[in-house]
Amino acid sequence: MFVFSIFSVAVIASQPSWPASVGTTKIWHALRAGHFTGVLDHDVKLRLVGTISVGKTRYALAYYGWEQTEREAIGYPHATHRLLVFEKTDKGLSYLGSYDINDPPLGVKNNRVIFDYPADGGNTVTFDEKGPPPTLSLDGQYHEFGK
Amino acid sequence: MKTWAMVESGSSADRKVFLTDPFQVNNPQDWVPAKVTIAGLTGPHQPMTPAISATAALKWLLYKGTKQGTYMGRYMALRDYNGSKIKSYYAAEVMFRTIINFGVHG
Repeated sequence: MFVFSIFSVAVIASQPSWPASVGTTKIWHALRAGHFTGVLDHDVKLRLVGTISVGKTRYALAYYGWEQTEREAIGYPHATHRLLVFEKTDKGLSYLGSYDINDPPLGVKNNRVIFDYPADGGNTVTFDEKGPPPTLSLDGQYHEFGK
Repeated sequence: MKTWAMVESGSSADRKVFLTDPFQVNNPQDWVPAKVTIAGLTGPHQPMTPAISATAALKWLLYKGTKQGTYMGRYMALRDYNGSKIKSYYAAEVMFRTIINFGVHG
């Protein structure tokens, strides 16, 4: 089954419209409690990519994008993009970590996050019960999992 | 390297940045954990010097420009080093100014 949802928002302006099963407040709490190292009090763009269930483990995946405005920038604006990984348990939502990525993902198919890259350099992130892969290849580039 | 630093932080209004992190490789707002293992930085609030900035920036540029084990060249590396929606303009300006100022590709 192909699951694809897009909710792109400015954090300061409004809270993202997460599905009730995920919960906006829980996401922000999970990021703060999980020692997320990115910016949370800025004009951050968040987009729910989808959820993945593997055995007893349920993951929620989100795209995080931050970009300086030209007014804020020193020289050219900089930007950062991440794939955020959460685990949903009976106790709530917990932030596991993220991957530094170059482009937003397309969505989720089965237990894989799909990117718009040629397959030969890697265009998916596959999740299993062992947890998020510690390293992966996307578009021929190596990416590490971290907070 | 000179042109790259000037494009990143060469304005007279940004003198303090130019003297600490001229390549803007450790801007706390666009920090990612991979900069520890790949660029050799310790964290988003690490005190920066131009030497630390240059070393980390070159490592991060090499990482961003390498696909399937092959370095794709300065233009492609600079595009992904910047990451913004105008990354192509950024890369083109660094390349163009390098040729204008020094007559070479850097």
